[in-house]
Amino acid sequence: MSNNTLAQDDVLDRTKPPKPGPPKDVQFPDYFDTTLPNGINVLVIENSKIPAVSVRMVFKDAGSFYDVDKFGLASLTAEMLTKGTTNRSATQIAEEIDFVGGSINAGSDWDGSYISLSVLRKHLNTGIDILADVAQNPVFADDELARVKEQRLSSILQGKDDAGHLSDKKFNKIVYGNLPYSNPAEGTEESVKSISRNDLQDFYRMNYYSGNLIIAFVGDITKEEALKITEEKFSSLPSEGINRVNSYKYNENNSAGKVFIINKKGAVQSNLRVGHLGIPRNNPDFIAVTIMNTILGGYFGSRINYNLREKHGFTYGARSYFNPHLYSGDFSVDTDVRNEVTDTSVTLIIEELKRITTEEITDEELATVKNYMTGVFPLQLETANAVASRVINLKLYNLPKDYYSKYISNINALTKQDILNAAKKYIDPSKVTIVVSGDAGAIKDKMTRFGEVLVFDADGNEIK
Amino acid sequence: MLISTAEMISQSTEIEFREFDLENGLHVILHKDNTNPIVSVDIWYHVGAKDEDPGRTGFAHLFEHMMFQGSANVGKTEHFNYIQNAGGTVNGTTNQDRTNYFETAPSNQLELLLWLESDRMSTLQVTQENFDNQREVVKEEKRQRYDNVPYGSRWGEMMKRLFKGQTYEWIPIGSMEDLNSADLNYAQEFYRKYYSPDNAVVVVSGDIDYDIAEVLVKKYFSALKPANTIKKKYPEVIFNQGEVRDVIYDNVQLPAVYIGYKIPGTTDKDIQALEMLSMILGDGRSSRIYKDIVYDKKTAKSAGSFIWDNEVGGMFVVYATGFKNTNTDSLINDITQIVNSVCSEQVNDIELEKVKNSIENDYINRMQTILGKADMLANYWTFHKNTGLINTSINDYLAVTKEDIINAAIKYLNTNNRVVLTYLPGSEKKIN
Repeated sequence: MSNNTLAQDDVLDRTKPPKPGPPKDVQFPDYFDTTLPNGINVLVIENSKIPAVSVRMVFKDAGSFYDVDKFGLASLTAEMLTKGTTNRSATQIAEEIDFVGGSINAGSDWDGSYISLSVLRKHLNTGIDILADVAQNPVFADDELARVKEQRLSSILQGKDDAGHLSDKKFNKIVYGNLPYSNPAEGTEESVKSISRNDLQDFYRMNYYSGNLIIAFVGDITKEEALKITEEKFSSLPSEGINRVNSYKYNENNSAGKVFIINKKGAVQSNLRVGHLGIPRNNPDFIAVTIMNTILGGYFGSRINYNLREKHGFTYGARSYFNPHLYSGDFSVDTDVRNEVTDTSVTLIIEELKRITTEEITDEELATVKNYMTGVFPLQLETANAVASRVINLKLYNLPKDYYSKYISNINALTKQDILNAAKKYIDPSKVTIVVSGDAGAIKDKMTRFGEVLVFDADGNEIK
Repeated sequence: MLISTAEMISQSTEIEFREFDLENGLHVILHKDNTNPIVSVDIWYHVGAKDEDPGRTGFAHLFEHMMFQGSANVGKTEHFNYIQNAGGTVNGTTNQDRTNYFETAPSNQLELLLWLESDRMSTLQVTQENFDNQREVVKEEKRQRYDNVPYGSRWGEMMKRLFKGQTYEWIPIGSMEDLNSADLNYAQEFYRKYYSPDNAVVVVSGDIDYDIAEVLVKKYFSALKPANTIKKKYPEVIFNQGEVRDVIYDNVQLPAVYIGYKIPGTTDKDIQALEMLSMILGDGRSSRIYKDIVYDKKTAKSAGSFIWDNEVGGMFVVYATGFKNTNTDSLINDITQIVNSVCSEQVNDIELEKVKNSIENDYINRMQTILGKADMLANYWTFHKNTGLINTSINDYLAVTKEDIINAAIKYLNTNNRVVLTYLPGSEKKIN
C-alpha cells in the first residue's frame, strides 16, 4: 500500500529514525509536607495552571483489611459519609456540591479510606464546608443505610455476571489464604445484610482520626491557605483510633498445580489468572520487580503480550501484574482468550514465566525498558493530581522520602543479573494457581493437563 | 453574572495556538505549553464507522489496527517499540466519525513521532499474515468488550433500531461475520481513499517552539500526496419514526432499561441545550431522574442520562438499572413522566445555574493535559472547521436559556422519536 509521495521527498532520508534532541532534566516536583500537633499530615502540591483545587483526605491503614468478618464494612462506612451529616441530609449534600459543579466522593481500598473533593478555585469555600462536614459529622442514618445496602446487594449480584470479577474473587481467595486480602472487599450477601449502623459507627470511630489522616491540597492553592483551612475546619476528629496489631501470619496454600474454573455457561471467552503471592509495596526490590515485570508482561511490547496477541492472535491483550498492598501482594498474568485456545494460552504463559526465571534478558530488552520507564516518568507527573497520588503513596506505604528523587537513577543502575535475580526470587512457575472464568463444558477437559480441575458456580460453590 | 463568569474563564485558561494548511490539504495545529518537558502528537483522520459500506461493518476499526502493522521504513511491532524506547505512550481509537492516533513522549522525541506518523500516512505495508493476525485480535476485542460482557450489546442493539436504514446503523466494532470476510484488497482501497493528508489534522501540543515545530511538521508531511476523495453522501437522520420497544434477554442478573431519542448532529444549534437538558435530567445524585427513581421510589439501583452526539445525528440516552424485582414497565413509565415534566413544567433557575457551573468545571479540567487539549483542538477543527471554539464554545453554553432547554425537550424527547430497550435476565425468558 503506497500513497505515493511527491518528488521533493528524495531530499529527506526516511529510512532511518531521526535522532532525539538533548534530553531535558526531570525533577520530581517540590511539595510542602508537615505534620500538625494533632497528627494530621498536611501535603500541598501547588500548581496554578488551571483554576481548580482538589483536596484528598486519606485515612492511612484504615481500609478493608480491618473488615474482619464483616466483609464490606470499610467500603459501606466510606460510602455512607456522603449520605447525611448532623447538618445536611444526603440530598442536601448532593445538591450543594452539584450546584457548584464540583464533586465529593468517598471510598476505601485495602489499605485506606478516602474522601476527595474536586472543585473550581472560586467555589473552594463551599466545597471545603461540605467536605469537612461529611468527614467529621456523619450520622449513618438507618434509612440511608438501608438504601445503600440494597444497592450494594444488587452490585454483588451483578458481579456474578462479570468474568473478570469472578476470576479476581476466586484468585484472591486462594492465593491470599488466611490473610484478609482474600476476602471480598465489597462484601457478600450475608455480610452486607448483617452490617448495622452500630458497625459503621464503630468502624468510623476506630479508623477515622487525625493521627492517621493525610490531607493533600492539590492545585491552585497555597500552603498558607491549606494550613489555615486544616486548622480551622478539620480539628474535630479524635486524635487516636484503634491500636493496630497485625498478627496475621501467612500460611502457604497448597493450591499450586490446581485449576479452578468458575463456570459461565455459554461464555465465548475464558478470563484467565495465572499467578501466586507477590510482594508488599515497600519491598526494597520493588523497582527491580517492576522493571522485570514490565519486560514480562507489563507493557504493550512485553513478552507475554507479544506472544499471545501479536504472534498468535489469541487475545486483545495480556498483561502481568505485581499488585501490591501494605502487608502483602499478589502476582498474576491476566488475559481473555477464546475458548479453543485456553489451554494453549496457559502453556505459553507458563513458558514465559520459566524463561524469565531461567534466562537473562537481552541487552536490548533492558535498554528499551529503562528508556521506557524513565521516559514516561515525566508523563506520569503531568498533572498536580498525578503528582499528589505519588506523594500520598509514599506516606501510605511507608516508602523512603527520597524514593522519587532516586527513582530514575535506581532504574538505570539495574543490570540483567538484577532482573534475573528478581524473577527467580519472586516468580515460581511451579507454584502458580490457575483460575479461569469461562464455559467449563468447553474447556474443562483440556485443562486437566495442568493438574486437578475443580469447577465452581458463581456463588463459589463447588460443582461435582 | 453570567458574563463575568465567561470573562473569568477566558482570562485564566485562554488556549493559544497556531494553525495552517499544507499544500496537500493537511491541516496543522500547534499548541505550546512548556509546563512539562513532554509533547503529544495527535492525528485525526476524518473517517469512521459511518464511512463503512454495508457488509463491511467494523472495517474502520480493524483498519486502525493495521496502522500499527508496519510501513515502508517501520516493521511490524516497531511502531510500538520506537515509541516505548523513546519513553512514550501510544494508542489509537475509532468512533463513528473519526479515527485518531496519538502519542505522548519526552519533548526531545518530537521528530521521531512525526517521522513515524508520516511514514504510515504515506507508505503503509500490511502483509496477509499481519492482516489475519489483527483480524483475530479484533475478534477477541469484540468478545472481551461486547459479547462476553453483561449488557455489552446495548449500544449496538440501540443503534440498529434507532438508525435503521440511516447513518450510524452499526457501532464501530462491527459484526463477526463482516470481520471474518474482511480482506486485504479492501484495506488497500480504504487506505488510499481515507488515509491521506487532505483527510487529516495533525496537532502538536506541549513543550515546543512554534517555529521549530512548524518546520518539523512541514519536513515530514509536506511531500505527501492528497487523495482527493469525494466522500459519499451520508443518509440523513429521520426523526419521529414511531416508538420502537423491544426486550432483549441476556446473561444478566438485573433488569435494565435503555431509552434512546434521536437528536441532530454535533454542529446543530440545539446541541448545547440538549446536553444541558441531559444534565438536568440525569447527571449526578441531584438530577431529576436519580432523585425520583433511585432515591425516592427506589425502583432503580442506578440511573442517568447523557447525549451521544455524532457528526450527522446522535442520540439522547436515558438509562436505568433496576433491582431484581423491579417492574421495567413502570420504570419506563416513571422515566417518561420525568422527561415529560421538562416539557410541561419548567426548568428552574437553580437547575440552570447548576448545569452551567458543571459545564465550566468540566471545561477547565479538560485543559489539564496536553493530550486533552490536543483532542479538543482536533475535534473543533474536524467537525466545526473552527479551532478557536476551544476558547469560545463555553459561551454557547452560557447563552442557553431555560426556554431553549424546554424547546429542545419538546422538539426531540417525544415518545415517537425513541427506541426503548429492556434487558431482562435470560432465565426469565418464557418458552412459547
